Amino acid sequence: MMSTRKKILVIDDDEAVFGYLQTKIGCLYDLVTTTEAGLAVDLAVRVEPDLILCDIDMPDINGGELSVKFRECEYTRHIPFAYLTSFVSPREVRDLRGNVGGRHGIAKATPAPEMIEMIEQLLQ
Amino acid sequence: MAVVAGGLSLAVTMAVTRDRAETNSARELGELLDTVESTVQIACFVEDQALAAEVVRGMLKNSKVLGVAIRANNRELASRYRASPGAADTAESSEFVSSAADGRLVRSVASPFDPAQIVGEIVLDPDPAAISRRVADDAQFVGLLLGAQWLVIGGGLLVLVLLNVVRPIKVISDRLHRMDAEVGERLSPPAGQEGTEIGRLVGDINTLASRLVVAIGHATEQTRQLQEAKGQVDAQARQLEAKNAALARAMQVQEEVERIARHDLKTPLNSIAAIPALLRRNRQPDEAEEALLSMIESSARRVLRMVSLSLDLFRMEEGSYAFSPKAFDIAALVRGVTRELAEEARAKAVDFRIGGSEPPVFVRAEETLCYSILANLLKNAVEAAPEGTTVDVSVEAGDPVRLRLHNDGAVPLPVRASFFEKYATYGKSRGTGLGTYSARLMARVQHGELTMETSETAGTTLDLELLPLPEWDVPREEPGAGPVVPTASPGAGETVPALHILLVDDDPDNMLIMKLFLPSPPLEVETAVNGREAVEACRVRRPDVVFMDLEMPVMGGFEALKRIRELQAERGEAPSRIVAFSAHDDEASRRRSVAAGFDLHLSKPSSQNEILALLAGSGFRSRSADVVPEVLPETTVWVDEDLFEAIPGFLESRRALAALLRQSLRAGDRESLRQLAHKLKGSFGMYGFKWAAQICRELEDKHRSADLKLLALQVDALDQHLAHVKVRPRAQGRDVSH
Repeated sequence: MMSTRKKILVIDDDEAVFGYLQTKIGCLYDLVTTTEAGLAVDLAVRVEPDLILCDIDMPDINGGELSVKFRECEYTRHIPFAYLTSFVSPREVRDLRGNVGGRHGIAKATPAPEMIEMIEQLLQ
Repeated sequence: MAVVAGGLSLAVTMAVTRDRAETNSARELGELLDTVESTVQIACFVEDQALAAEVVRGMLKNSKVLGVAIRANNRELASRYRASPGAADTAESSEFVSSAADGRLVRSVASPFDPAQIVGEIVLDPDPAAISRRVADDAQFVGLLLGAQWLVIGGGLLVLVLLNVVRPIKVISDRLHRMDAEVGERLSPPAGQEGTEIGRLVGDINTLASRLVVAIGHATEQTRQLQEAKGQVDAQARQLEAKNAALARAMQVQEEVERIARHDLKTPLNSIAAIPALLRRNRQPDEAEEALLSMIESSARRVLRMVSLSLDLFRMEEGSYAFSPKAFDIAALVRGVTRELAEEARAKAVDFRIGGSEPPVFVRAEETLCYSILANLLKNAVEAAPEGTTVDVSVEAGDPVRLRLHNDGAVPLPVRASFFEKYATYGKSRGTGLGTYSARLMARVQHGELTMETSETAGTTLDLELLPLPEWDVPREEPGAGPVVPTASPGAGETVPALHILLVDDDPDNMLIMKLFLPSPPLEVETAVNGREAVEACRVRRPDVVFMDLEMPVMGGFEALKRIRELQAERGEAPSRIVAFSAHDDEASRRRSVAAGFDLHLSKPSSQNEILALLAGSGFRSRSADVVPEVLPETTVWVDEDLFEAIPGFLESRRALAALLRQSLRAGDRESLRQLAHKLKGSFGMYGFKWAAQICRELEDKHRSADLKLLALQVDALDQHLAHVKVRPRAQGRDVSH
């Protein structure tokens, strides 16, 4: 039987973030994670996620550059994309109405229920 | 199976038929030979060779089966027939063939007159191909016949099975599909099948159906009962949750009320405690007056300390106490406390003996907390020590720094097990049972530990462990005897510049005390009872320093600060130094004040010394941004219970990152420092380590501009935090994981 769970690709250079997400939202979504930002677009093409969550501050290629790459690739440009970042606090995200640097943004410190709510909105 | 059996039977039949045909063929050949022999004998008898030859030839002519040769012993007779067609005369050969080894049949011919005389022989040469063909034809015919019979019989059987087995079963199956067993419907056997196996099968199905209906009935009833029970349990759980929530709210309200009450007590107590010093300034009191003044002073300060401590204990218990360690000499503190208790000890003829490492022994702790711990434990020790004995105190430097307090008395048996528990007390009419409990709490909040061993023979030993001060932080200049207890004497000798001071406070007692604290001249002191008046006063004349209470009617301190800053910025005036002067002395309040733009957060009560020192310039810098941030880590971090298992691994990986942070710092690589601090900040924020996240945020924010030493202090604090933090699981609501 085909899984009805949505698939989320998470890109971050800190594996602790994956551990947190796996605990908090792993029961609701299939998480595909990578610390290799440079390979993220290829991975997205292969796994066809329903949503991409991407850190901004990463050593080799930053989230902004990566978001452009996702947009340029014809196989990934339709996939909803959001930054998952600690550059902004949950309150700042609210003040910015969820818009961080022209893309959707979720603060890393967002409590799990709110984070799930935001993800659900993005998945719609 | 039937096909295999049919095929097998066919094969066997054909083999048998073939054998039989071959036997028949051999028998016919024999008979033919007999006939030929008789004819030849007759021909010999009448001596008519021509007839004999003709008869034989004629008989054999029609047979395509056999070739025949007649051999005569008489060469003359033989030569006559040599040219006869259809027969091979082998009379030329003098040798007789006497066997049928090559498939030929040979029969000797005797003379009719003398049976002993063999006159020749007849040789039959069968044609095997022709014989085989005949045999095969026969076998094939029989096979075909048998196959046809099989077909007829099989077809018949099939029809029988269809009519008597398949059709009734189909009928039963259709009825079974339509049957609703739960309303009592049952199967009836197909017509004519009542007494057969099929009829019995229908009976069995009906019995089974009845049993199933009963079983399903039971199961449904049980499910319903279970659901009912679950409903009841859920309802009870909801009620309990509601009660819990109500209780929690009630407790919260109670705690809040108590906290406010305690907090509000501090302001008037502070005024009371300050009055004796002010009175002494104006006039030298006589002995009796001095005794009374000292009593007021010490009592007020004791109550103040109790109130402060109870506020701190409350924070420690709920895990929100912000540990604010500083370097100080614990050995000096021990000496100070023993001096204070000297009178009491003398009354009991108890001596103090202090030993251990050479002073100073620096610790990284809070002096007031350590003072409370030591005062409490040493007082207990004096009380418990038998008269005429010694209370030993040893201070051992090392990691951790170890303080050992020993007296010869034993802890009474009933309280040994509960020695450190809250409200555990024994034999003291005024004991609250908080002393040892709070001492241990205070030790732990400083990342230390307090343990006790006692026995009737060895007496009682208390071990206090505290964090050592890292080697590089040990002050080069030896500090003084150490500020053991707050001193009431005003600070003499501080040169206070002529400054214009604005005091803003709605409490007239506070205002009075402060005014008396501030010598005028050289200071020029102005007052305002709320924020609005303060702004107006600033409009009229720019003060050099403003002491601003935070909570005031009409306009609070934060709003007033904002307006004064705006006003002075508009006018191009140098900004006044504005000090938040508040009874709130917790870390959150401190941070809030500095974040709002106050130059300093000063907590009430403050001694005249502190205030004058501040105004004299020592310890008061122009902008808060330059002030070394106070590092006050959380001691206990509450994390969501589902994350709890992952915490050891998480902390391990964070320590590794913190080590990299230190490396970057040593290398002066500020960008790498920023990246690591950012990474740590994000993960700490996620897992609920708010203090650590805040420190990393500061590191990230200041990575470019701040002094590396200052950053190093913060990295130190982070290290300490990660090494000592206690993590506890916090129960969560249901919404997260469902």
